[in-house]
Amino acid sequence: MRIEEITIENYMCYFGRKSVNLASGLNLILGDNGNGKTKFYEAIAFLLNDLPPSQLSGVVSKKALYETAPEDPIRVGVKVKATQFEETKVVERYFTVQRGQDGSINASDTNLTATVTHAQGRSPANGKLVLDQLFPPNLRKYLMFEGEGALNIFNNTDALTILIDNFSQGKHYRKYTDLGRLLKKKAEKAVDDASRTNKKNELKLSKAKADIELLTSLINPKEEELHALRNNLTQTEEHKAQAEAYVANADALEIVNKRIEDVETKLTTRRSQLKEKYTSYLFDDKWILANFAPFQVKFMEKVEEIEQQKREADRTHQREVGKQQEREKITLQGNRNPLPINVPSVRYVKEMINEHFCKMCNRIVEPDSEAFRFMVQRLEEYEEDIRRTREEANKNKLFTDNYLRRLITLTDTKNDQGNVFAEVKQSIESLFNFNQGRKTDISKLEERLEFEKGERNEIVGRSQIGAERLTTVLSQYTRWTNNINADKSRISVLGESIAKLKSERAERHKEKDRLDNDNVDHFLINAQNLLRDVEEIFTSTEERLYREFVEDLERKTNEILQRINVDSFTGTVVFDLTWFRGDPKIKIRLVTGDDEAFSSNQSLETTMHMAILFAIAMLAKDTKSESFPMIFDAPTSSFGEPKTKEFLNIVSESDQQRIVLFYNFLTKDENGKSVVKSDFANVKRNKAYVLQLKRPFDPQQLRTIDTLIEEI
Amino acid sequence: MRKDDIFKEFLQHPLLQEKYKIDSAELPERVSDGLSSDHPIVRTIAMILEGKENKDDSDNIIRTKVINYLQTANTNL
Repeated sequence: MRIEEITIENYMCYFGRKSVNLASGLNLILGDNGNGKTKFYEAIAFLLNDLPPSQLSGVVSKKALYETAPEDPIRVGVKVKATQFEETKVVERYFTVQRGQDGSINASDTNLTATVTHAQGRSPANGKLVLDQLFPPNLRKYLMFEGEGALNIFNNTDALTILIDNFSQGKHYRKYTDLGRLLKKKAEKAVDDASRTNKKNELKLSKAKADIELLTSLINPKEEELHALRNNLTQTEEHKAQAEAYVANADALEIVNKRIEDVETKLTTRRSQLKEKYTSYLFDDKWILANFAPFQVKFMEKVEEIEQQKREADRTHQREVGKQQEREKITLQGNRNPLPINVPSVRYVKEMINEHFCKMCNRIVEPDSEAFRFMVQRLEEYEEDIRRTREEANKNKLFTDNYLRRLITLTDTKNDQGNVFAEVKQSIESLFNFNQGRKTDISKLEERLEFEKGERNEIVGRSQIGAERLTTVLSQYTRWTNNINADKSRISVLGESIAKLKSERAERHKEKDRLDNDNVDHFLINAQNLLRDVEEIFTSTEERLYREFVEDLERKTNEILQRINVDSFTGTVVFDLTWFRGDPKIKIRLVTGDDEAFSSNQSLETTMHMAILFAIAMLAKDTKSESFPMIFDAPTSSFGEPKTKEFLNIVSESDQQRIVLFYNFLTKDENGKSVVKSDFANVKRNKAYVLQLKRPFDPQQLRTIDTLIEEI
Repeated sequence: MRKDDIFKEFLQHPLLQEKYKIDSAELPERVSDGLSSDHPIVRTIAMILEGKENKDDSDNIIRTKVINYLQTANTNL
């Protein structure tokens, strides 16, 4: 089937009727975001799937609603003209809508109409029938893909199996295989029935049949378990492969986390070792004295100098005082030598005055007598003398206070502390060296920490999942690895057990066949054997063709994949085909050259799925099955322009129809209008259009929006 | 015709040569030729294909036709 033309009428941003003529092969529709690409895709989806009545008014062009007079009908629809089996088919889904005077919008039900033009002329046809012929419902999900995510259809095993079933020759053989089974079953039953009525070998036959039933009842649950285990194993391997992309990162993250922890511990230790309470050390540890020694020497020299000066001054002064005293002594010695100034002492003189008796000359001294007055005068003189002597003594000293002694003591003490000053200097130097060493260590560790954190960020960034999930991945990965090993081991045990039971059952079958041969008419036996062979031929031919198709598919898929991802690592897509009770199951795996599963990135995933789709389409053509157009909306969002170009060039090599909507190869001119880049000339295609909003428009007003479709 | 292609695919099966000793040169190209084959296995396959192509034939009718044929060909089976 090939789409000739798509017409969109008053649908969303498409005001009025807009048509595109499509060619066989590759049709490209370029459009910047917001210019109507997705609405184009949705318009086709509307034709195929309809919309609930409540949503109809929402898809009407706002410009049409605004520019059409109230109560006037507006036609909204999507029409496809296509050729299929030498007939031209037109199918259209449409509805009408009216805007009321009050602004309300009333939409009619949708209509699906069709016409078919063939050699005999044109005739109306059932819309649904024609639509289903053009876009078979069971294939629609393999024909239309919105975004890259939609391509991920092959994660579901059934999806791939159904698709291959539809496009491979396998489906054409299924009806024969089914009939072959039926004929064989009936023939075996006829033999069974005939054998039962014959009493000959009855016991042996019953035993053989009972053994076969027993063995079958043992085999069936084991096969079920084996099938489930294989599915489980595939799933776990897929999980493991997905985790694998992260597990290296998770592993690396764990290692880098340990390194960070180690560096942080060392940093804490080094920082705690730093001794930088310099204010305390200044006083408590006498650091302030570190440079005191030269001052101390100066101080000592000064004190010595002053002390010498003082002594010299003292000596000179004492010499002067001595001369004076000498002079005074001569004056005092005028008549007689007086008694020493303290003889008798003031206390005894006072005692004698109080007692009116002279104890020196042992006689009474009358008051007011000459002697009494002498004694009183003598006491007064003595007291005056004491006072005067004291004053004189002080007066004779050149320095009343001897501060110098204290200074000398200080110099002696500090002199003894000379070593302490040296030790302070040493301890300061040593501490500074120690701290500098720690600081160098800290600086290196901080650099190391920064580096490790950078590594961690890179690992986490690379993994596209958070650090916490990465840690979870590692534990799950280990569990999955263990599960895979356990599953493989169990599968091996089950496989051996089933093979053994089947071998025993085959022996019982042979025994039964031998007994049947004795019991039953040869025609029934011969017919049974022949129909068994027919069934074997049908079944194994179907399986062979399926296998060959899948092998071709695998080869072609890998060819396309490697061409799309030229010069990049792609791995190999492996198709696993298994049969379970007559039904094929196909699963895909992406593996490395060593057959190790691995998880791809989005771009590789997209190209892998596209490669499968295109390979299926190519093989379908080879097998003379009908091909259908595929429609992709933004399938290459994760590709850059060079890769998109390579991809499109490969797609263009096939004459099968593909419609690809994407935003690459566009730039803006000075007026903001989309302009196709010159590099687009190198993109091979059969037709190309660009979607462009008609100017001028108001970005705030939908009623001004109208998408134009211009052929490039 | 697809049924002839399918027929040829079936006739490629090694059983025909290994068990039934049919030379590949004797194998018919078309279902219509197979319907007159002297080899019951070939003819049975052709009858099944032909029967399936005929939308009026149910599986039971095809089976009856096959069994009837096999009875007539019993000595060659």
